[in-house]
Amino acid sequence: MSGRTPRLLLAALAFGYAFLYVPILTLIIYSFNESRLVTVWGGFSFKWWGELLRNDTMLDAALLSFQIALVNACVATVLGTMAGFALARYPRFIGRTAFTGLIAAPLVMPEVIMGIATLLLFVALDQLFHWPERGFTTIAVAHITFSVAYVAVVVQSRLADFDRAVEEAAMDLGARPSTVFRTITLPLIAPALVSGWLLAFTLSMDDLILTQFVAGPQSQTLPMLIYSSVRLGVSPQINVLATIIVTVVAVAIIIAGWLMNRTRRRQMREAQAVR
Amino acid sequence: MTAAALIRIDGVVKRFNDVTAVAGVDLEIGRGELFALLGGSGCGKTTLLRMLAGFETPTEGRILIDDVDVTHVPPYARPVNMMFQSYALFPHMTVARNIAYGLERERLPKAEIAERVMQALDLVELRAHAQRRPHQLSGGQRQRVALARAVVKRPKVLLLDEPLAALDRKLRERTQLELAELQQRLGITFVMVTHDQDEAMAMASRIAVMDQGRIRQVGAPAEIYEQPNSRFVADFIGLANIFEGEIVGHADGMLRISCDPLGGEISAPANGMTQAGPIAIVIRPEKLSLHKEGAGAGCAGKVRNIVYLGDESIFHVTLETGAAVQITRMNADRRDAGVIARSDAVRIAWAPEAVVVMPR
Amino acid sequence: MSATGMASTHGIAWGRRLVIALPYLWLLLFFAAPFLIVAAISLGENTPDTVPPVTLTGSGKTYVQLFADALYPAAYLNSLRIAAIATLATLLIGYPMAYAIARAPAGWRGPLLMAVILPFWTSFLIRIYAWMGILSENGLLNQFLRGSGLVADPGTILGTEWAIYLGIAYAYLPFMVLPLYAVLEKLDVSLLEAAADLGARPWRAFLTVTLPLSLPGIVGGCLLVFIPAVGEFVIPDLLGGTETLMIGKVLWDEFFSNSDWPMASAVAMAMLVVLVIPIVLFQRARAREMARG
Repeated sequence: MSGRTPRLLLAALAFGYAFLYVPILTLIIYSFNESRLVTVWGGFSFKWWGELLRNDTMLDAALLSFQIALVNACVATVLGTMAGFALARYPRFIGRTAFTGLIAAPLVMPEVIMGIATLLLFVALDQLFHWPERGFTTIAVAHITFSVAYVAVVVQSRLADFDRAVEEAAMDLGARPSTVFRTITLPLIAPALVSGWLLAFTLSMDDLILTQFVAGPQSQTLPMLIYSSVRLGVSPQINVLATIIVTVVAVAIIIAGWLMNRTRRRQMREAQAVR
Repeated sequence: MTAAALIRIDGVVKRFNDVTAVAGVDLEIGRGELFALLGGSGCGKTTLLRMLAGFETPTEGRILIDDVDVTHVPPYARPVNMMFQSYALFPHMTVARNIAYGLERERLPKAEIAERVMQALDLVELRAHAQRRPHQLSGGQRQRVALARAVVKRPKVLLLDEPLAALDRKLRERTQLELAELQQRLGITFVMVTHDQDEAMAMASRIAVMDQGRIRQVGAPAEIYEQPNSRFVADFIGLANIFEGEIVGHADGMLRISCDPLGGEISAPANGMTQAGPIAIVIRPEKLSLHKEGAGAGCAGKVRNIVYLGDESIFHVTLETGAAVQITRMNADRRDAGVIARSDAVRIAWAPEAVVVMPR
Repeated sequence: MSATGMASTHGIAWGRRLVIALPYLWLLLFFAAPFLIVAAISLGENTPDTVPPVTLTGSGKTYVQLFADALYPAAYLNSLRIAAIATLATLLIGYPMAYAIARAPAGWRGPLLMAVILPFWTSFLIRIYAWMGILSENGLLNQFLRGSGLVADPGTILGTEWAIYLGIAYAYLPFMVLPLYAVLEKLDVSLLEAAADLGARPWRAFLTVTLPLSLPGIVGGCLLVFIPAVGEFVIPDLLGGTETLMIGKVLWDEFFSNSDWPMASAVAMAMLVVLVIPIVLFQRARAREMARG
């Protein structure tokens, strides 16, 4: 490979990462801005941090989003694992093609379509059974529906990766299918379940459009609040919120990466000790 | 049915959609045998093994183990254990937990499990590695864990799917002997699948040669090599010189065969075939002797090429009839016979007993 | 036939049925069934005085209106055009990145890929909001351009289609990079060496070997970006101008501003018809990927 090519690739990488991170950095820097005008630097200040922490509406919205995300992540992980398992392990069942469609479509379906469709279902159900009341339940159900697809894809690809013979070996050694799943399959796909859960949690915390359609007049999630605030123009409090979210995510990922690294290094040390 | 048969396979057929993997197999395997299913890839040997393990259900026919029909018994309820080609060790468990897994499924007392795991570890000399994870072991050690995990359950039959394929050559040859010795010591019936004829010859008490979903010949290694029943088997096992000919008469248990490639009429043991008509014959290369051109019986020819293999050499000779013949010669007696070089004019000879007659 | 064998086979069958049926029924009820209701409502009529503001008439007037009013066809075409351009832009930024990551030393690939995905874990809305601060008239970009003396009087990007392309490329970049990386990482380097050995210069080797072999990743990534981008609402709403016509925004306004449920439903049905081919392509690509395992 010629010397020019790596340099070109490095430039592409540098541009790509700058494109991804510069906007986020500007958000963080301007969260410490004294001025109300987001784009004019008025000196360093924690003013907007204080304002945000006193903003009860924002805190209530964050709490509601958190609760919905928690319920969504747990239910979606269970249903999504089942779906992923069905896709990876059962090559033939009636309606399999339709099933793969039901898993693939939510990944790309424009949210406005899903939003109006899900709302109209809830309205129809309400007409027929006087249930569900719009709010927490409807938001959670709508979120679970698209989160299931994401979890299913993560779990299915992990299942496709590992040696089926390991499961067969367990069965050969006397384990019934349910025992095989509990003692072999589940521990081996655990990392995928964790990623799936986190993915579902994040998607739910982040969703605006679907939520806007199915939420009742009483409930306001964090993205709904951010949206209504952003529509009115830029607001320093949003910068603070962005900084908090980015920090939480970055810390979580660094901890996860550090834990994974530590485990791997310990295993490598142990492996060296054998020789 | 012989009284000693432990496994009986009755007219077993396995079809996957349109593909017939096993096309009708009848086989009896005796108690204490080390039985090898030998064949190329796609011959149905692995499918047959997986049906013995219970991972596949036969489309037709039935399988009996110790006179119990297990055709529809799931893998976890069969008195059979398997050593997988990939070893399929549980990556999230230690060596000891891997071995204990099957015993835990039998809900044995903890103390008994611990004791039997220790015995199994000693058997494969891995006691010091009991607390290691599979990824911390070498290939040979993994193979031994897989073996210990399968035999610790004291199965009636141990199935081995290409047990040595993942090892390098030196280790493979040593492990062949170890496995065969272990089988003798434990007295468990082994059924192994392999594509490697040397492995099958070295280890097995009997071999079934498979092709296209059928068994072509069953017998002891020497029987299969010395008395192949078909061109396929003769060609598949070892080197073989195969020619076409015609039976023209027989007397005193010997056949007279007209064989143009070998320059006329030759004789061979009747071997149960006396019907006049077209046949094929096989002569193994080591059963041909090679002489510098001179007077005597046999066919004249010319050395086209010599492949030197260290302990022996393979001489490719073109006969005057145009037929190509391979002859192997141990290199220890090179001096005695005088050095034969490429392009030398030679004469080949053989004893009538060296000729095996087969259907064409 | 042994009794335990039969009993356990039934056990497997029931467990298997449950594993398939539960997510299947959930998705049928909450994902597929709603489309039937949307179809029914789209044939109804808007009656502002009732609750809900719909009367099911089966008239199909909405669809007549959908084609008669030039606004709707224009919005569809505009959405397809904008989504296509933005997808191409995302591909042009994403392909070199995916390629560079796939060719990086093995130990670097994980962290580099993680760095592409990381922004995805933070709020989508907030990331779009960041661009409002950068692209506005007195935003950071213009401050930089004026301050550095490069451009004396830069125009404003915010409120134009350029801002929408940027926003889509920015928000959807991970969805492009991941499938591209997946194919490029598996690509055997010795193929390129073989091409070089046979006399191909690096660029020719790339065009004749790498590019064709990475086509599945290109198709997958582009569909993952294009389909949702067609119905995108937040990006045109926050970054685009008032005159930017995208169908997601039209649907939103019909529903929330005009409370015209039948019209909003008809817009959704028409969008679905437009997108059904790319969605089926996407599902096929995924099924193929699964079959390769």
